[in-house]
Amino acid sequence: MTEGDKPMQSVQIVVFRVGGLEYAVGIEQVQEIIDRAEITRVPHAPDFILGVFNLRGKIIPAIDLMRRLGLGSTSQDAQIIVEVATDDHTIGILADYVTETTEVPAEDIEPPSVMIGDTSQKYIKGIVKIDDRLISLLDLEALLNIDETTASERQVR
Amino acid sequence: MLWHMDMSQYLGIFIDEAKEHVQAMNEGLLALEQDPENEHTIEAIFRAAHTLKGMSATMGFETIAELTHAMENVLDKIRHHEIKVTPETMDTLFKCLDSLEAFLTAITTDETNLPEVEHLIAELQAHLEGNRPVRSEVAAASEPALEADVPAEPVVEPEVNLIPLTERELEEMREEISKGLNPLQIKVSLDANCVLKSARAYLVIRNLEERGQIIKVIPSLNDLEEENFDRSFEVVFLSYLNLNEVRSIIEHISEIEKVEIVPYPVPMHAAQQKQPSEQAVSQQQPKQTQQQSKNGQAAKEQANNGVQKNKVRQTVRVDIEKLDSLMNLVAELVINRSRLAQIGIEIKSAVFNETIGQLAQITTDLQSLVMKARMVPIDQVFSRFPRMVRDLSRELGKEINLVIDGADTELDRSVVDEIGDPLIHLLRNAVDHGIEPPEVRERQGKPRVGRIHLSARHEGNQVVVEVSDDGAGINYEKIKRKAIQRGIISEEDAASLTNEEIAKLLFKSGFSTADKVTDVSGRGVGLDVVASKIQALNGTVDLESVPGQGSTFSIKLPLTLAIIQALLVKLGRSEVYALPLENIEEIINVSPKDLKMVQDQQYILYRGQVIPAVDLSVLFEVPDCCRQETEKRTMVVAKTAGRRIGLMVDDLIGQQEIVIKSLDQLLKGVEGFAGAAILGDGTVTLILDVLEIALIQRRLARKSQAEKELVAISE
Repeated sequence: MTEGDKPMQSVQIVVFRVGGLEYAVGIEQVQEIIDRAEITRVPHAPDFILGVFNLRGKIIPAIDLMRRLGLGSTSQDAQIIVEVATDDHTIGILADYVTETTEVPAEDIEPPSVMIGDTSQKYIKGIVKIDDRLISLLDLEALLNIDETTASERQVR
Repeated sequence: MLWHMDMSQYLGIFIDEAKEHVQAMNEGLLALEQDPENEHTIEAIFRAAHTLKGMSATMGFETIAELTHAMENVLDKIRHHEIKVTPETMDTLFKCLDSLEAFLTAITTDETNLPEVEHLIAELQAHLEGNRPVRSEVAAASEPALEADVPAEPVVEPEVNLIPLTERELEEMREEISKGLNPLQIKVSLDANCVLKSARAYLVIRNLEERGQIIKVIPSLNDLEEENFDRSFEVVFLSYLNLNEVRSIIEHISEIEKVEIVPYPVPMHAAQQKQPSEQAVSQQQPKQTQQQSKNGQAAKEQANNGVQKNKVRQTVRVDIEKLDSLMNLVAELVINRSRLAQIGIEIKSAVFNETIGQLAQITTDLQSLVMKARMVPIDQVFSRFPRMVRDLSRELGKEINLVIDGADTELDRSVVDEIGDPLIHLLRNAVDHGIEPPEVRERQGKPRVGRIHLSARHEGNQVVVEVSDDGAGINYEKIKRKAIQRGIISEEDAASLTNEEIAKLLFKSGFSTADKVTDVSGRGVGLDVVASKIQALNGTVDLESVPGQGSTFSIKLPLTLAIIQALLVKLGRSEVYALPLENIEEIINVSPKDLKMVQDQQYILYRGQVIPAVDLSVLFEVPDCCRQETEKRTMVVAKTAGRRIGLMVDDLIGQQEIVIKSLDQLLKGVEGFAGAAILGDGTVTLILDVLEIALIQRRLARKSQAEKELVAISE
């Protein structure tokens, strides 16, 4: 986010709710929002990867955002999947529901509070304030960079 | 930009075709070197040069046009026996080809720094002027051959010119003639007002085919079929019938104006470069043909390779990406077919199921067709090797015959693209380390000329590519010493190594046994690169070597089929996995008492062999697996890379065709799966990778042993 440069600049985001919190991704990264499909577990996968599902012939990993952020785990009741894409990956994030699609001025996006040792902040690009709601804007590139997760975790013990 | 704007759209085609012509000239020159008198070869090279000249002039590449023009002049003189083919001429011509290739590459990469050709043109000019042999000498050399070739000359009617045949076709004819068939050349002229020319031609050909063997038709059958001919066509034909009998068969067909038949004279001995007089061997000794020197045989083989290429097939160039997406679409179709089949089971409609059955058949046909369309002959890679081996052996002062077999073996183009580098490496290796210098070979009682054999063949659903030489073989002691020197193995370990294990050391990184570092190989980046490249293609590479007799490297590669037959198995209560059918050896029932525990790992005695047994539900931590210790289990005996492993599953679901899809990079660290597939009901199933599972099992076994030892020490 280049906040401050051009005050008139704004960002379109898709806001969704997972585990009672609100998260957002830039609309250009959202492919589509679908009903939860059947997810096939992948043995020995990193714990935040719930498995893989079929979206019109593509095989896509499903992500448990809560696990990834170190905030417990996403409820089994989560009924939708937000399909997002970065340059390297296309994934589905399991969510409860999509709140809204909205446009926020870039200046309303604040940098995340720096708290050392808080894993969840590592994957947050900024905080959007809409009225009294606090929406975390996800940094998908960081979220999907698994090289930093320990290699031993992925090897069969 | 060198070319006019309106031409740029043709550039891709130009480059492709130009490359083909350069390659054809390369092959032609190699064949010519073995057999300088072969006029077809000279003719073919000349034509290629001529076409290239025309093409490049049209495209505005004047330099190429000039160079090919100069080459053409030299070839023309060779063709007319005005100059002799000397090794120097060949070198110059080869250099010209290199320059042409460099030029084409420069064009593709949009490079402005184009190679100089003036010196080459000057060199060619020098050959034109300085190399004129005495006229009578040429005549003397070619005349006896003519005499011997045409024993039936008086019979030849003047209006029929003999159709030139390739050495291979002649060989085929010799064989048939020895069985008593008559070789004939037939010229059929159709009536001037014949309407269905192709139909008449077809009748003639079919009638002939029923009564003998057609060696060659001019113009080609394709052209006949499309009426691309004037009024007459010619056939070289072999039959038990005599000339008049054949004539009456053809004249029997209506709208035929004239039939001219002459016996086709077949020289009974393959043309050879060094002993033109030997061609006069009489017809009573057909066995002589088998006694050709290895040299002659290789020349023939090479000439044949060239000839096969020249067969005109109607083709269209297709962008690889289009083929890839076609493949993907077919894969989608296969998935949807499975889905429909699933629905068919549910709705129980006979008509529906019948339709699905037909759809299934069509899909299968379509799929195999697309698969075939992606297959290319390995010749695409092989064809550049004769030249490479020639250059290398000249450079190193070695005499080597490269024999190529199975160049028409087809495999997926993605594999063909990748196999080139490893093969170059192995061939260089064979030339540099394998084949000894000629003097050394003679001293050892071997023929001066070394032999490298490059072959490809299908074996089951694998392709086996072998590079073997009759050179020095590997020196096991030397490798052992080097390995100790480089700290790859310890001295104690070395003592207990078998030859096979020593050979494997060669594939370890940083290993080169050549004492002398040459330009060719032996820079330390060696066989390890080959091994890793082959492994990346899911293949294996093995080395067999007998000291003093030679070495054979064999590479085994999968055909990379994106669609495979698989057995669906169930783990726990609900998880479904797919096991490639090609990995499955047998399915057996085992009772718990059959399983033996050795250091925490299970093993089973299968056909007298102890093989590891893996409970997949346990390995994959399937959540709801809760079975009784005493229950009988289903075990799939799987094999991979020569190893067997018993995989225990909870249920068998059935066989199905599946489309392999890769897993996202996020899952790249996950072991045990070759990919995923979508089943008929739309769910995803994981495809088991038997090799990886076997490796996991081995690692676990080693780990548990290490733990045991640790416990033993601490106790």
